[in-house]
Amino acid sequence: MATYKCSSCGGTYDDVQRDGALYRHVCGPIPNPAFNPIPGKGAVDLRETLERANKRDENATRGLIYDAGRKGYDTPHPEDPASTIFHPGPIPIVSEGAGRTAV
Amino acid sequence: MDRQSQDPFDRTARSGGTVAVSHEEFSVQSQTALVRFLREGVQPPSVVYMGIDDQIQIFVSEALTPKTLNVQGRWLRAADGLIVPFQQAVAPTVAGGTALFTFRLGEGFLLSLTITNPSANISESSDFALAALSRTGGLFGQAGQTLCAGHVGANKGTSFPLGGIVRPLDGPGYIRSITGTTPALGADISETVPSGARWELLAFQGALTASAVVANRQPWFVIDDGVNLLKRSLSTQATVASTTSTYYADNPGIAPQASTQSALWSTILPIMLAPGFRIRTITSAIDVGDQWTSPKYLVRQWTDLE
Repeated sequence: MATYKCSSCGGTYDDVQRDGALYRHVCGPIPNPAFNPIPGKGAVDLRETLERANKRDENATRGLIYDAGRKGYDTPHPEDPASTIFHPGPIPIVSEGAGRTAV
Repeated sequence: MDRQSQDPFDRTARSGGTVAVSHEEFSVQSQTALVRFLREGVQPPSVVYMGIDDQIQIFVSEALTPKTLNVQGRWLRAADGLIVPFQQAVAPTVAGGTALFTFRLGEGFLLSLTITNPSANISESSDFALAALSRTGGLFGQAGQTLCAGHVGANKGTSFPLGGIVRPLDGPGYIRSITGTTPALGADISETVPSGARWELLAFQGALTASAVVANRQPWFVIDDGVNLLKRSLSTQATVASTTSTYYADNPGIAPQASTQSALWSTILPIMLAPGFRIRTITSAIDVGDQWTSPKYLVRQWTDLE
C-alpha cells in the first residue's frame, strides 16, 4: 500500500484499502467561476461546479478484458471489426490527468 | 421343450410335486424395469462434447487484490476413453477489471469443472468467475456455452454441471469500509463509484476543519450520476471559523448529537449507486484554507463482469 498525491486535484489517497481492494481515485469537480448564485435561494445547484479539465480517473478503461495468458488486452481492429489488435501490458486507466506522486 | 419355452403356468408341467397356479389365478404385482443399462459401449453422461478447436474460457472479476484461482475437473478423452483429471491455476494479475484465462483440453467430453478460491479470509462475494466453452477464441470470440458462473470465496466456488449459473450482481454482495480521498485545501469531497461496481451506500461521514476566516460553512451532502443531481441534503449545522465539525449522513428521525462538533445530513439510506455515480459535498462559503478530511463510508458492493 502506498499513499499518493494527485497532481491534478491535489487530493491524497491510499491506493489499497484495508480490505485489500484497490482504490481508484477520480478527481472531483471544481467551483464554476461563471456561476452566479441566486441570493437567498439557499439550494445546491450543480452548476456551481464543473469538471476539471485535466481530470485524473484511475478506473480501468471499460469494455476491455485482460488476457491473463498473454498478459495484455485486445481492442477491436478499427478497419476490420472481425479481428483484434493485441496490446501487451495492463489495461490503461481512463485518464492519467497530470499524474500522481508518492507521498 | 427347453427351459426357455416352458410355460410356468401349465398345469401339466409338474415339478417336484408342486402344481403351478393357473395364470388366470395369478397376477404379477411388480414388473421388471423398462430401462436397461449397457455394460459396454456406455455413452458419457456429459452433454458437453469438446472438439479439438474448442477451448475453455475462465472469466474472472476480482474486486480485491489479484489472487490465483484453481480450476479443476475431469474429462473423458476421446482418443483412449480414459477419464483424465486436469488442474489449471488462473492468476489474473489484475484487480478491478475482468481477466480472461484460456486453455484447451482436447477432443472428448467434459465431465466436471470447478473453480475455487484457495485464499483464506476472502469474502464469499468479492470475486466472481465464469467458465464458458468457446470455439472462436479471443477476447471478442463467441462463447458457445456457459458452463458455470458464481462467486468464489475462500474455499468455495462454482462448478459444472451442478453449480448453476449465478449472475455477478446476484447474491448479498460484500461489505466494504472505504477511506476516500482527502481533498486539497478549499476543495470538497468527491467519491466516485468505480467502473464495474455497484454500491449500496450504508453510511458516510467526513470532517470539515474551518480556517480562521470568519464565515459559516454549511455543507450539502449530494449524490449525482456524474451529470445530474439526484439527491441532496443540507447539514443541520454550520462549521464556524477555526472549528472542526464531523458530518454524518443518517436517516431522518435520528436526533443530532448535541455538540458543535457533530452534525447530520438527513437523508434516506441505503441508496443504490451505479458506476460513475458520485458522493459529494458542496460547501457553501468554503474558504481556500478549509480542509475536509478523507471521508469514511460503508458500502455493500457487487462486482460485475465488464
